[in-house]
Amino acid sequence: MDTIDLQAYMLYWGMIGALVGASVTPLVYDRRHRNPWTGALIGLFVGVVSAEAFGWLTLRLLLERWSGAALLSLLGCLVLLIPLWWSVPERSRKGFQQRGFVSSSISPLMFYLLTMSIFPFLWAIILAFFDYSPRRVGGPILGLGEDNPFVGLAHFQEMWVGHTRNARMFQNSMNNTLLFAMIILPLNLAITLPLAALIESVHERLKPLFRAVYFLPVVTSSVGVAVMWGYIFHAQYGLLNQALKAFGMTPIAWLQDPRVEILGIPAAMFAVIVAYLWQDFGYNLIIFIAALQNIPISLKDAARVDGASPAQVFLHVTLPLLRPTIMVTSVLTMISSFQVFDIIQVMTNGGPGRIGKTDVVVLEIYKNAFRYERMGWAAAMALVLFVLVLLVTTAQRWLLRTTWEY
Amino acid sequence: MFKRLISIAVLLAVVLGVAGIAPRGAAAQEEVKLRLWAHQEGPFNDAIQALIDAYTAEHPNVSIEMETFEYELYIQTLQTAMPAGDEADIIEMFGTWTCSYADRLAPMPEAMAADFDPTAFYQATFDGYVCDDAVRGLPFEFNMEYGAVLVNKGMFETAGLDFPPKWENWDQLVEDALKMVQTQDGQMTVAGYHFLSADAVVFSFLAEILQRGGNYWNEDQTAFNFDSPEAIAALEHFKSMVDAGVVDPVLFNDDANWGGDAFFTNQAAIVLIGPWAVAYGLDSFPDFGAFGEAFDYVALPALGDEPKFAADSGWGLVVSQNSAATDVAWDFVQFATANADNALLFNTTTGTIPALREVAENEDYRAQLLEASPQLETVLPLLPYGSYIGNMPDRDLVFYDIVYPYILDMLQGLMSVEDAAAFINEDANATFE
Repeated sequence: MDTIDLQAYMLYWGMIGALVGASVTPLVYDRRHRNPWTGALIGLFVGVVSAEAFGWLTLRLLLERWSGAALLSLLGCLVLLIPLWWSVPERSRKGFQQRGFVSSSISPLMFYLLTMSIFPFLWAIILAFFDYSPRRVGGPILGLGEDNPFVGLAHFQEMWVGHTRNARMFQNSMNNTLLFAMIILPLNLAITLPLAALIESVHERLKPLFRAVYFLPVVTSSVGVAVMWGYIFHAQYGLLNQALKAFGMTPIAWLQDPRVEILGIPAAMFAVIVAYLWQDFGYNLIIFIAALQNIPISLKDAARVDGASPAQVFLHVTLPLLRPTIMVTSVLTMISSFQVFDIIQVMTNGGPGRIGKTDVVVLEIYKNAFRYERMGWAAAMALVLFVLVLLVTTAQRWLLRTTWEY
Repeated sequence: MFKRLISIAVLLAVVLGVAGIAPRGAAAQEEVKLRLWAHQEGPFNDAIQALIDAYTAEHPNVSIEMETFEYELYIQTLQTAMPAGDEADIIEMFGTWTCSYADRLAPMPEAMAADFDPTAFYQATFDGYVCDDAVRGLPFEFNMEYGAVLVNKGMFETAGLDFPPKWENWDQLVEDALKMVQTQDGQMTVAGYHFLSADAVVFSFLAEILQRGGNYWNEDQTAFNFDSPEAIAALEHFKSMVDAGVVDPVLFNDDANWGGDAFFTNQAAIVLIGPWAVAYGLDSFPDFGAFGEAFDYVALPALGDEPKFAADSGWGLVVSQNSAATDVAWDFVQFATANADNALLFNTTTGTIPALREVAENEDYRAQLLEASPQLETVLPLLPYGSYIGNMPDRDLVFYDIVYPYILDMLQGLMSVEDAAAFINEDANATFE
């Protein structure tokens, strides 16, 4: 048992047990005319217990004698599940038929969602109220307490009214995040909406070509995009500075010099915005093209019959009918802008400057959590970002709400 | 249905009980199985495996399995596994991190401590493993970032300068550096003396404070003293070199044209960096040329009588508090690090600076070491002048997010020397809270 990673196998056993137990048992219960949701719960519990117990037992007894024991241990969940399925008594009442498939599909997914998303989310909320670092040995319950003390709202208080370095870095990163998102959203919509309308107006055979070309950056690796734009903005060898020199202008250290500003925006922030927009706008473009294709032509024809010009048709027919799509793209763009990380980390790593000109909240969360191991402070920042995204999204939904369909 | 389930549960309990008792027995009595974690780095892993093989050959009842992790993953694994108690028995650890994990590490067993001579190791590297007066691990290597510089032979010869240089003072170094600076279209393309990588700046700052007779700690090491007259003099020295034009702080720093890469791509003539960069350059830039022919590694001039410097405590081994065999694990740690033959094996395989004095000072060992790593000839005489940086509340935060950015801002003209010293002192001391 010492030659394999027991921790990993315990995880595999639990996951397989949960999947098999929660997906097959509801079907069995349904066939026996019993509540499939109860079956899912019982199957989940029995599957996990059986998988862990018999998986461990198989390794303990067989591993040193037979190399296939590790593979066999993955079937440990069946040891109790098969008798369970066999022992479920049949009911005469036919009250729950047809729900078995739904339950067997949803239950495993719910389990994975709970373990992979909900639990970490709740854990992050709890951590936000503790000065927690994994380096310190805390109390007996999940390492909380003692050397990882409960601090209540102290983290949030420090973020808003503190003058410590942590507070300054958070406030700067929040300002940068808001600046980034507030520039990205209108620019993105200003580019994608007219471009989608233009692409819709070209010949049918050319449309797929344009769609493919504009969508290519979206499927490109963010790191690759960041490296490419990093070279374009490179102070000494960058394409942009070569062009500036060709026109007799002074080269700029776009990504390095904290003193340089373009239209009041730090040059480095300008550079990452350009890179981010280049990669991201194809996504919204495709959504807008799809939305434009769904607008009934009869509505536009009716406007044209009434004497509307192409611009008037766009402004008074197309644009209002795109409102739900604009709402969706705005929300998605805003959320992704708040979560920007990879492009900035590769291009500037939050710099230049001591108070990073492109330092954003997610980058601060990453640094604090994984570099400085201040998980409590990082979790508090993550919680603030979550609430901010929630508020902005709610506001956008309210502002762009519609009460009609076409 | 419930009767059946109860029967199955009883059967399960019986089987588990039998299994829990049966296989243990006599066979496990003498055998000790240990796990060792290390970060992935070819020569380091080869050296540790060779030490494991040597130890297990002497102790046939002990088996040690090494598991390696990519560097970033290694740090994250330590962060998550240690609180969960899943860590290996023996852990390769950077000395400077040790005390932040002290609660989770087994101290040296009393019987071993009774015969142990701490002066066998250089102070700079051993002190990182001492937490609350208890030894929590032992070092393999001496981590040195200040004391010597890479010099580019071609650039020196083109500028008509002697090679390798022997600077008696800083003015001579700056004078040489200025002769090798190159600019194009108003931008610096070759730096004369590149000392603006994060580690280079921070360790220069600490070394200059020490060499000027100051200290960056208060007396009982409970607070920093970064705004002393010596600290301000050090910052003024950096500023004077930048103002003279040896390096452009916007185009040459840790994010842009990092020193190691700048040197091996002919963008810097003199670069302040640790001796490990020689192996890095030979490996990553094989066309650059051989050590001793295309480039060399020479000592920096000292400001005072002694070339004092501060150093991190290097890589070594620690033992988990959760290990079921801490005595055996500690025995291996001592075998691998405190035995001169084994320490030499590690240092020659990895090209690292010895932490054990005997390896650096005994003529035979020293000859073998220099045969494997000739660049160490420059640094071996400096080792006794090194001191451990001290147990900071958060070393990376102080180094990379406080000291370095403030100094770079000052060099870029965004704040005065006095302001930089005052802000560094204030923010660094706030890390104690």
